[in-house]
Amino acid sequence: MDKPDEHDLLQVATAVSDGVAVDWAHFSTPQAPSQATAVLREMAVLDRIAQFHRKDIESQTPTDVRYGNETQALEHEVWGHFRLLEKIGKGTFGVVYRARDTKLDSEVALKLLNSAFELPTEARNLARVRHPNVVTVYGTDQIDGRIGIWMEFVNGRTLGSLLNSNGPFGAREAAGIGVDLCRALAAVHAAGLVHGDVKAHNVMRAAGGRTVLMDFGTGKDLVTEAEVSGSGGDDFAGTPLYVAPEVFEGQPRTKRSEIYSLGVLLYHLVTDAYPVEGKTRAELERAHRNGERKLLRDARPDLPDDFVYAVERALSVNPQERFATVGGLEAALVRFSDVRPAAQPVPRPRPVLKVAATIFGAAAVAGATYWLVNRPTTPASAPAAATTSTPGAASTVAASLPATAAESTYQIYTALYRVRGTSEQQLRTGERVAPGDGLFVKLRVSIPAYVYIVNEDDQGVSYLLFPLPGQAITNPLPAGINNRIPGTRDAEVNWQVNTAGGREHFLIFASPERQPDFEEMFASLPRPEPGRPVQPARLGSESVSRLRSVGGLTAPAPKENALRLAQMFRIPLSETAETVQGLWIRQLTVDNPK
Amino acid sequence: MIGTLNLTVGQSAIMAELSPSGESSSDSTASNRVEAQSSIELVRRARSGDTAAENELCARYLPRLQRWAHGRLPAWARGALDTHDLVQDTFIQVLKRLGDFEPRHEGAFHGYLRQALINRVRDEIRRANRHAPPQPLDPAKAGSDPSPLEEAIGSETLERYESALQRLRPTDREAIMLRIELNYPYADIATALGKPSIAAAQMAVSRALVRLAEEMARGQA
Repeated sequence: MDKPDEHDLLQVATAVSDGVAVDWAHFSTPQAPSQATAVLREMAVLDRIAQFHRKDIESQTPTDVRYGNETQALEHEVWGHFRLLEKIGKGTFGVVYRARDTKLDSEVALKLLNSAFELPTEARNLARVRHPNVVTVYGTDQIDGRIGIWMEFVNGRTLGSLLNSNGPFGAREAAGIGVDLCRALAAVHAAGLVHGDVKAHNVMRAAGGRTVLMDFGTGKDLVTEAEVSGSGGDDFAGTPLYVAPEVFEGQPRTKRSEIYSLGVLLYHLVTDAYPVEGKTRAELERAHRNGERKLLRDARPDLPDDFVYAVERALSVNPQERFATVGGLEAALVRFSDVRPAAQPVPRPRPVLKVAATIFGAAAVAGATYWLVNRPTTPASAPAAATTSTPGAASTVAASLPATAAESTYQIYTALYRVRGTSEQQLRTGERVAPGDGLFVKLRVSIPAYVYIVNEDDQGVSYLLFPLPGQAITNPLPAGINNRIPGTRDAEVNWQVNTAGGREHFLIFASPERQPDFEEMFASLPRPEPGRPVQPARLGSESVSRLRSVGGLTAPAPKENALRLAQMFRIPLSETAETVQGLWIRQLTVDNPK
Repeated sequence: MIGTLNLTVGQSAIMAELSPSGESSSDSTASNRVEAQSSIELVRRARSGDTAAENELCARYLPRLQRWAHGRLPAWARGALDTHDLVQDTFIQVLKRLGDFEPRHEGAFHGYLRQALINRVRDEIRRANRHAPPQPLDPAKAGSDPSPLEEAIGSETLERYESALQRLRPTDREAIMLRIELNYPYADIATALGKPSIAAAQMAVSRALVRLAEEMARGQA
């Protein structure tokens, strides 16, 4: 084309600024380079710089990409009290956004259904299901003619996406996911519901490893029903590949058909293929009818026999030959996974002391955090989220805020540092400290959090290290920055090691919510003050007993005078950021030899 | 046992000054109040020692700046915590150094921050060239190790871009930085640059881009 004029340049600049693709070849000119074409060439450079920054931001912000690869920035679109931040997924029935709940000032996933659909009753029902492995539905409403369902925003990737990028899973990893999903589905089934759309793209692996079952009862399964049982279309999405043969024949979905779907998912995870394949609905139906099915053993001869057996049994054509419940499948899978067997329910304390019962309230949260990583909780009895289409919805949601806040996922990173002379070094388990060393903790959380830090030595002597009165840093610690505890960035205050002998355990507690019971208990502990050594003291045995109930996890039988925090909370501090829920407790032990 | 608090640098008197009301940051009404304020007002308050304001500023500015810095730092300095530290540290230094600097608008504050970060990144790279870097995978490579942006467009082009950017008027520079480098939505840019509308902010960015491209071409000629 001709030499670009000023107007063209401005238009191109706007396209660069908006991230709209520019056809640079269109402007290329074989003629002698003019000033204008030179400017345009530089504009192309600026386009690359702009693209770099857009791409860089996407690649570094795992929270930006969720249910697929599609992300799209939005500017100040709102739905009710939600501000839409970006599109993270799209389906026939609606669009999923990352959105900010401006009333609760929290991030959610908001699914906006196309106006043609009515408020799904399933969403209402499933809002009752509260389980760490099931996405939490917070509420649903109809505003401006659009139905929206807002739910927990899960930071991670779908199994489908992981499979695409990493290839098939190993048996152990797949079994671990299977165990999580059995537990998730057990909670769904216990509520008298069927998920109806278990597939690799509906399961997220959250950052930190939590498996989360997504996208149910929000219209999507209705799509599936229409696609599968409808007589019309021959083309369909991948979902029918997961559908049990009897459902193809028109029978309703049941727990056993869900077990079949889970079997397909496990098969798919370890093979990247499906037991029964077909490109169209007709092909698939024919394959089912003819019993054309590839056995898992043939697809993966290397897998352990028992894993193959468990998956094949879940895939039995006859529903009666499958596991009767997801619990049966879980039991068959659990031995291959790193997941521990399901915990026995924590015995409820007798209601002797009111305060003990309150502590147990905290214990339930603590347990949830722990089990998120290691084992399941019994389904929580949190109040159901508001699920109403009236304007009163918001107030109901607000009323359930405490439960919601306690269950919201957050990221935490923390490390202990030693200051010796002018050098600072991060301490890892087993490293040494000595009298005269200064210590501080660096801690970063993605949401404001209440943090408590306790030091305990081998004699069981404990000190409260944080929060300390009179310091600039107080609870809750602000989100998104490296907090240096106990010192501010301006005045570098450290804890100082002032005696030698044995080991030092550092226990770090964090929670999105204040823990009044901790504060009350820790209030009895001695604490360092500027320039003044403290008198050693122990937690009273009564306090420790109470804390034991918080633990209720790995606490050994108490020996006399030897009840230790360090023995109760033995999850070691991770070196990387963790994604957690509720109360988070980690321990770091360093040597402090004589 | 871990006993005394060791005041290695600061004094408790300073800290008392920094947190006049003790629990102010945990007071929800206080933090709501903070939220409603403009960044300029927050800068003023942070400078006078209000930690809640400082924290709020960190929360507002750091995430984007950290992502930005990630693209500008060579690999050895890009450990997640390193980047966080560097940016946070620079941010706090900037706050302290502001002195009499009265930002005309929020974009100016951002511009100031970016410049401070660029300088800091250069310092760090120079420092690494002089001494062995902290823990490089390959010490020989540490100094010449390009940043991701440098890798993407080449170091000469980056230099041409940076120097042309410095020759622009501050408002143009801020518009480009906010939109092109930090990916702010136009609505935020309108606020930051004191523009009356989203369209006006968009036009400001486009015009700034044209002027930048012209400046870069001039440098080339």
